[in-house]
Amino acid sequence: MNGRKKTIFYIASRGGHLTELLMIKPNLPKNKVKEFYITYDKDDSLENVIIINSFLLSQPIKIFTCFFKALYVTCKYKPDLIISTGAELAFPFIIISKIFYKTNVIYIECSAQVFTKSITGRFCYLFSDKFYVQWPSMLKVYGKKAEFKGGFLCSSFQ
Amino acid sequence: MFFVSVGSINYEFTRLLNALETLSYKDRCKVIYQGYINKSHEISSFKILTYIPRKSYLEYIEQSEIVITHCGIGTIYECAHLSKKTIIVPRLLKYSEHNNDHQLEIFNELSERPIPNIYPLLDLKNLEETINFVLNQKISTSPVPSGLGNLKNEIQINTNKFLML
Repeated sequence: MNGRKKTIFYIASRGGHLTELLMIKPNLPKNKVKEFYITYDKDDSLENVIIINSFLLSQPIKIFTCFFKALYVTCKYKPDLIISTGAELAFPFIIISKIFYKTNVIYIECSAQVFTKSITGRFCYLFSDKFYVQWPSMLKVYGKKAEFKGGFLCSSFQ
Repeated sequence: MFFVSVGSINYEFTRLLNALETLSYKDRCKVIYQGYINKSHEISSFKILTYIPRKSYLEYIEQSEIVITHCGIGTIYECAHLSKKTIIVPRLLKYSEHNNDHQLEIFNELSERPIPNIYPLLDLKNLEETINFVLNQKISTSPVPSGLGNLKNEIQINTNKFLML
């Protein structure tokens, strides 16, 4: 693995998920890490964007297509790390990367969730290596793995 | 100009559009509706934009007098940090405006522990009054509570660890 650039996938659905991800993403040296954004819409301010057609959990055919695209993209770039703020778009990428490449996953539950688990959060809790929530109230909702270090609109334990 | 954003999710928020139609400020509203759009909205009296890039989105927020939006965390965050007076209305599950009631949770949280310049509104009947009230409020310059720095540090540390940088 020495000498190969590391690959990181940033995955976020549109709206708040993407806003949050852009705010908390790490600063990484360009010569060592290749960064890819996986999202639903084209955004001129980002480089290396992979566009996926949006789907809902109630649209099996679209999910199926997305799965294949995820399989292709994952096998092509072999991510070393995935950072995601949800939502459903993270599902296929996390499953495939985990199974094929044992990719590390950092999942941050969207700060829109104050008291209840999101569907994606429930699932990603099982597959993530680090799992963050953005409200202290969410610690009780999830298990031991969940950590609270601060959130978008929440500075400390209240 | 009032900038109205109902986010980019694939659910309708007709209730807000209907309430806007009844406003005496109607002509000043500029609506963006990035998600699912119903045909009937196209003939409504607003200029509706269906998709705009992030950059122009932020420009609209900066130029507007007040922002009216759903309880989406992205817009709330941007508006709070741009010190923009913002009225937030939750999308409700009972009207099928979202897939769960997390917007109501945000609404409750921000009603109990308000953050500067953000005005939560539940009952759309009071939209006009709320706008009048908010127009008369001074822009608050107090800092927005945010634990973002800590979270960002934590993610940076773990990223370096996982990538062995």
